[in-house]
Amino acid sequence: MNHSKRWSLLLFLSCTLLLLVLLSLASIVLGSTKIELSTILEALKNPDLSNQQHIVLFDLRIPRTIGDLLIGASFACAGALMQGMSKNPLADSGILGINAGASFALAICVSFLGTMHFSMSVFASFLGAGFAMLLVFGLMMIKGRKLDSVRLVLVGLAVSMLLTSLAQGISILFQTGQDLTFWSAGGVGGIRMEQLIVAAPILLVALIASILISKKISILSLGDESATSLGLQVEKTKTLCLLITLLLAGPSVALAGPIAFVGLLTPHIVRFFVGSDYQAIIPACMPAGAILMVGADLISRLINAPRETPIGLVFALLGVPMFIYLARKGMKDHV
Amino acid sequence: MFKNVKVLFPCLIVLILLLLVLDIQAGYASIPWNELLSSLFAHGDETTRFLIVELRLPRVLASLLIGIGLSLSGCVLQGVSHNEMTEPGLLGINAGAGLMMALYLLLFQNQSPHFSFLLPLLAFAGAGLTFWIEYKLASNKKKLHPNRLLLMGVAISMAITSLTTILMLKMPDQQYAFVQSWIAGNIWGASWTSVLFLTVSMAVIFGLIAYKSRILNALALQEEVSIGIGVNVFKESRLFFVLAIILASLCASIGGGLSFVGLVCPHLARRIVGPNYKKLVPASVLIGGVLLLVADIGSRTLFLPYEMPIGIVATVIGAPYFLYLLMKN
Repeated sequence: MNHSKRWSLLLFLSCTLLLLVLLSLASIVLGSTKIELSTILEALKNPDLSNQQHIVLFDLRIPRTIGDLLIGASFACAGALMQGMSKNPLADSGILGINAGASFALAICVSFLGTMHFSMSVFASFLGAGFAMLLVFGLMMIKGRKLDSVRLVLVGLAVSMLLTSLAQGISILFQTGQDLTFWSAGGVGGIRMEQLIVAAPILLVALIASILISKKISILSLGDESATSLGLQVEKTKTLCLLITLLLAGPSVALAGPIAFVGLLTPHIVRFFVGSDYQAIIPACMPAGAILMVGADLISRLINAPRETPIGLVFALLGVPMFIYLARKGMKDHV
Repeated sequence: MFKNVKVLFPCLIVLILLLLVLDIQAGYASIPWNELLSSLFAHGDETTRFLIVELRLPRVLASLLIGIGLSLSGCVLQGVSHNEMTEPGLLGINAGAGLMMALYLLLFQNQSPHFSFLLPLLAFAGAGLTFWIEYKLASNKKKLHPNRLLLMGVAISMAITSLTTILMLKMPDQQYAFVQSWIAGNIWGASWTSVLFLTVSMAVIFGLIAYKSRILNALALQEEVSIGIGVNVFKESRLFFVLAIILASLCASIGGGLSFVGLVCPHLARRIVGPNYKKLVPASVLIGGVLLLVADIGSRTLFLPYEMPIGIVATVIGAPYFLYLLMKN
């Protein structure tokens, strides 16, 4: 990275981090019951478990906000990793079959075991995501093949479509489609501390790891031949990158459902600000994805309070116009 | 052996004819072979004749045509956009059609008697409108950039899909099931009028694409190369995009959201006959037809008395074979 690019990255990071802190505070304070800032300070100093507001704060608001931050950052980062590795601007963690695997596992559980507890469904969808990813990876590695990016995209798409179709078929036969639609619309309302304690360390480690390999992704995005001639161990890097993507997207999908917008479009949004070097894109994606997620979740709680609007709709109505505006602005600069 | 198109194409055509007959025979009410023949060529029993000529035959022909159309559309789009993930559904064609349907069902709870006639029109309007918006957004000073069109398509179809999901959650169970199976891809309300309309318009588009397959070959090369050999890249790729989208929305209007066919059939064809569009276009068309006919037979026989959406069957049959080919080559 040259000097001016480093400055623009630093500027972007500091602006987004500031915005992120403000949004997270708002996300803790605002909601169907309003909590004063003084109450938060008091609750942090001496928590009182008989106080209604303190319970809301510790059991609902704080886990939810932390969940938003981590999930947004992880999806965005996973999307950037996949786009860099496959050199395809339309890739995100979904093409590894992660979303499809999770919904397949959920379809089976809902149809055969009936309605189940949220923690159980989180566990099931994580297992499904891991299974699908292993399937894609196993098919790629059969007979000691190389991890060619075009084939990876095709295998991933075929496996995801297969699993999605099986999930749809099962839910049509057992008439459980509507239960699944609630899941696939996405949402973070059900996140509790117990799940975060398991998921957060995994996500944090994976986020740090993705910053560490961002330089290699940057080289990888030049193409396999160039990367090899620059002395990069292409196969090893790609395998590592896939593993990190699973660790980022698996728990996130399990907790919040497939939120495709953040993973697919955040890297494109970030590109308008920091350029096309993955060393800048990957760190910049984290606060940007987190902002999108916290912001959208906040709006989904407030727009029709006390009822919650599915977060997918918020992305559809606010995120997409924003993306289109940025994309068109970028277009004028280029042409 | 099948690498040679002189062997492959006749084989596929014979296969399609065989499957057509099998598909007419398949279904809830089974028809003996002699009655099938007599009602096709002569005047047989009145009910059987009605069942075959008015119900089965349009549907069977519609699934063949949809397979052909989607596969051709995907084949053209992949070439023009230089992206192996492209398929008509990615550009929001199915999403637009689905949203229109869901809106109509929610606004006019009582299904009008003209519903089966209205459905294709609604779907076509939704699909066309979606593409028009994307096209306007992605073109700058009348120049269209394929990559931008794809990104716009993905963003807009995400928005539309979410809106449809929200609408669907407000629906009663029965309507929900209808829209769900439509989105999964189902040949619904095929009539002789729609089959005829589909045939004529597809024949015209297919003719144009086949006539221009040399230009398609050039466009599939790198952009600099195609400019170098004297192709007007912007103008020609715009034409191909529009043709492919019209084709896909025609298919979506009858077949619902079938995303697998348009994505995978061109790849299957490419792995069998290679990248030359002169061979690739007919090969993917034939493969698309075969896949949807097989899927149609499956959708009407495997889960009796239920009818599984054809899109699901097509994917479950097609994906493993596609994966096998990917492993082999």
